[in-house]
Amino acid sequence: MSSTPGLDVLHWRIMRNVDHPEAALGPNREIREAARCVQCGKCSSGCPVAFESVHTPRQVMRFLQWGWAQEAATSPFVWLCAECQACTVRCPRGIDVAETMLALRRLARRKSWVRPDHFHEALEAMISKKGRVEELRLGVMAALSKWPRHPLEDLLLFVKMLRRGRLK
Amino acid sequence: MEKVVPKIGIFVRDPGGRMAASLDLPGMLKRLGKAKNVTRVCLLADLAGNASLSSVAEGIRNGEYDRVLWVGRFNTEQQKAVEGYLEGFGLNKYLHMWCDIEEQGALNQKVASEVREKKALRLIQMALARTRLLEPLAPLEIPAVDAAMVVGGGIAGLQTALSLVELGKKVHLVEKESGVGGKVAALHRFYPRLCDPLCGLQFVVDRLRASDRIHFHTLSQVVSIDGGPGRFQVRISRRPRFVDLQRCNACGECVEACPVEIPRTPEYGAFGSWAPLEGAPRKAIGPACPMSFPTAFVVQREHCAPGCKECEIACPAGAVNLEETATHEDVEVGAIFVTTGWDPYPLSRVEEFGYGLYPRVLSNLEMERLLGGDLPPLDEVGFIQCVGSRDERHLHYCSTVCCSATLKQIRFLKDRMPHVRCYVFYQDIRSPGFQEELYQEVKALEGVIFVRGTPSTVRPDGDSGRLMVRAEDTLSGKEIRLALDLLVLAGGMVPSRGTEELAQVLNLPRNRWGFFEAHLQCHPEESQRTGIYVGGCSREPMNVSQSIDSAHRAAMEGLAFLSGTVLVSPTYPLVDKTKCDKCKRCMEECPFAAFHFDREGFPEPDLAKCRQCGNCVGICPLAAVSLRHMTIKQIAAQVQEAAASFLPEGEPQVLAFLCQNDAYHAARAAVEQGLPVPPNVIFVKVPCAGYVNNALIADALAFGIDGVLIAGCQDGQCHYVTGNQLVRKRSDDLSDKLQKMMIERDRVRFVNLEIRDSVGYVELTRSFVEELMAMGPNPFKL
Repeated sequence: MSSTPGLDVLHWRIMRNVDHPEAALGPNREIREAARCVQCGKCSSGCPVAFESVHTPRQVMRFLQWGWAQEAATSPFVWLCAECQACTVRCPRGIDVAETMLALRRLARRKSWVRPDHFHEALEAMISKKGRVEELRLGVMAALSKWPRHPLEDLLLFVKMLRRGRLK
Repeated sequence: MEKVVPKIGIFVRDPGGRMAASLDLPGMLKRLGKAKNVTRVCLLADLAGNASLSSVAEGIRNGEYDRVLWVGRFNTEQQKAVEGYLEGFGLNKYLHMWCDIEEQGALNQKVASEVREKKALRLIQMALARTRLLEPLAPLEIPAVDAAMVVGGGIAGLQTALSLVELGKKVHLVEKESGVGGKVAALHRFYPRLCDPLCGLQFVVDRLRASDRIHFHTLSQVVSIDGGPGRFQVRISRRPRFVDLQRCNACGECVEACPVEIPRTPEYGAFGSWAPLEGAPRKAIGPACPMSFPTAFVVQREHCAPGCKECEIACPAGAVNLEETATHEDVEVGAIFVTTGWDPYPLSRVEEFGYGLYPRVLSNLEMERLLGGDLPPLDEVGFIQCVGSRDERHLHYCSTVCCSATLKQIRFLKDRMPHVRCYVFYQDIRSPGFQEELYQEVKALEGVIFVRGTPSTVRPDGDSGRLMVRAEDTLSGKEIRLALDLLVLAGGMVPSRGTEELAQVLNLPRNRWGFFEAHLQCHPEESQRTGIYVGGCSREPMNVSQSIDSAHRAAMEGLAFLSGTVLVSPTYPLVDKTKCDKCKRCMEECPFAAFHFDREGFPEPDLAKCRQCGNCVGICPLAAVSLRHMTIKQIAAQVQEAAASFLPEGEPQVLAFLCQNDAYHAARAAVEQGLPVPPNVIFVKVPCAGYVNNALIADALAFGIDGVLIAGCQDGQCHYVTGNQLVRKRSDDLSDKLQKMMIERDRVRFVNLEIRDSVGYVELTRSFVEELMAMGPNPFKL
């Protein structure tokens, strides 16, 4: 017997991609692993950052079980994760939770669900171009790439950092 | 030996004239009458009145025929009645052959009448071919000893022994420790009735003690086993007790005299020293453990001071003998019951909870001891569930008792200290059946909080000695931080220490977690070694009441080997020594390890162990093994008869070997339901798909049959463990053989078929026939 979902449910299903969670999750092996999670919460219990975030790693795993890849990948937790691997070591199901968080970050970037800020964009550009980081140039590029620019504030900060020996 | 020419009487029964309606019955009877060895053909009116049966009996009495082929549909009751009646006239039960042409679809009106006639004749000819080769057989009676052996004296072992003793059997109970009782003796209370387990144990022990049929072997182990079901010869080795069982009356003089004090440690788990333990320090001599039964004391010689003989001097009964040495005893038993039980999973392996590191972290067994004695001052107590269980890094399975055990402990803790706050960290609470009541009762207690979430680590809280636990309450998503006075870990169950050794001695297969392998469903207590039964936690984690249940079931299942004689149906395998080249394959493939070498080095089945599945018949590369009453020769004769064509030219002919447990029933049901079964198929019923020897398949193809179908059970469902998979294993051999014969590999197909899957059977045969049609006729076809 198949039940016919009401219109609102149908809409929700399409939005969440519940019927095709795989399509929403992409080909990531780590993300698919979430299906094996038993929601014991051991990952959150040992996590040094979980309770600073809106969600805990367990909740992120739950989102993935529903196929809510975007919710998961844009959860602040994914970006706060310190990759300390405490969750991976303790997981009774043997899921690599820390790796799942990294996979979610990659997914979010690939799907443009998140945009790096001006500083990181500059950093990324510099590394991919030259393979190393020059602090002074990075500072200037970051200052120039943001909008609206604050040249005076940045200059003051520059002087302050020079004086404290934070820039060479 | 004089060759006996068989004389066959064929009796056709056609109530309601169904056969006559679709076949030319008089013509067929005339043809059958001309067949070789047939001395009489007769159409029976009815079975109900004995008039027709007595006419059959008349023919047997005056020697007209010495075996009977019955054609038509007879149900089991009718078959039994006929067999019983004619046995009185000297016709052996195994000289009857029953041929139901209807179940093969020979009466199907939708099929062309020519095909129908020919197929019916083929089926009767096949049965006739086998009838010629039938032999009179009689069931065997193997003498059996009416004594049993129970290995392991825990609650399951005691209950098995009690069950058997009350049924009048002798029982040898072998226990590794100095006293019986096992793990249950160490418990404070057991659910569901929440009474003291010692009471239950004492009750059993007292009833056993009253019987003169029980023999306790304490401090003993099984070291070797020989013989088979009904007559196992077992050697038991016994470690010295140093105290005479007959003379010691447990007066305690020796304990007072003993100068050695052994610090008390909890019985289970090396740690937990924080828990105060009741009683005076133990001495090197003292009562038996875990239960003080047998009453005689025992000396722990490894603790004795060198040269000390204080106890020997002090004993007023002269029972102590410190020079005693290990002995052994040989006993003969009919069946063996293994109830070796369990051990707690070593919790120090679950590093994150600091068991063995922090004195306030206890295992649930230590908590039982604590509840039985004085409780230290407590305010906040935590319980962590599934420690080690349901964990890929530790035990993959659920240990089933820990949830209810924790609920029980909380109930008693709250009884004694109502102010204590209890926190249960769980993943799922598993309290099946009526245990749900206990869960609801405990849940409603004030100050008991169930936290759905598992902590990740435990840390000491500064110098206070308390424990800091942090967890996510997954139901609210909130962080929980607690400072606890005591943390109880609900650890899992593993098979007991001696399990591996005993498995080697008894040659018992174990599953991947180390528990003894059993069918678990149809015969839960039967191990894969006939005559050996497994009960209690040695088979699967279970609680006390389930263990007792399992113990009694084991005793019932094993009773067959304890009743003086073991009755063996005469359809057992025989090895033809003129053909056998001692390759041992039958020995290796036998799922029940029933074969052993006879004096000349030929494999010989132990008839009491054998379950007559015929896998040895199937595996033999020389077709030297045969099941009696279903010999290779009989089946080969049937195959040869089946090969003659009954179909119009160009139609492929299929021979199917169907497992009698399910595929056969599926095929029968397909015809009965009127499904469009292709008429091209003739089937032969076999005891197990593993029975089908490659020689039979090659025979069938060589005689010109276009395709061979073998249908067995689904994987993992075979009653003979792996019979269905063994066929597939042999398919490589078969491929070589077929290649040599220049026959396509696809002409032989192996399938799994479930008992209800009649639709599947029809689809299968149809597609197979279509495929064969495309392949063209068998090159061997005449």
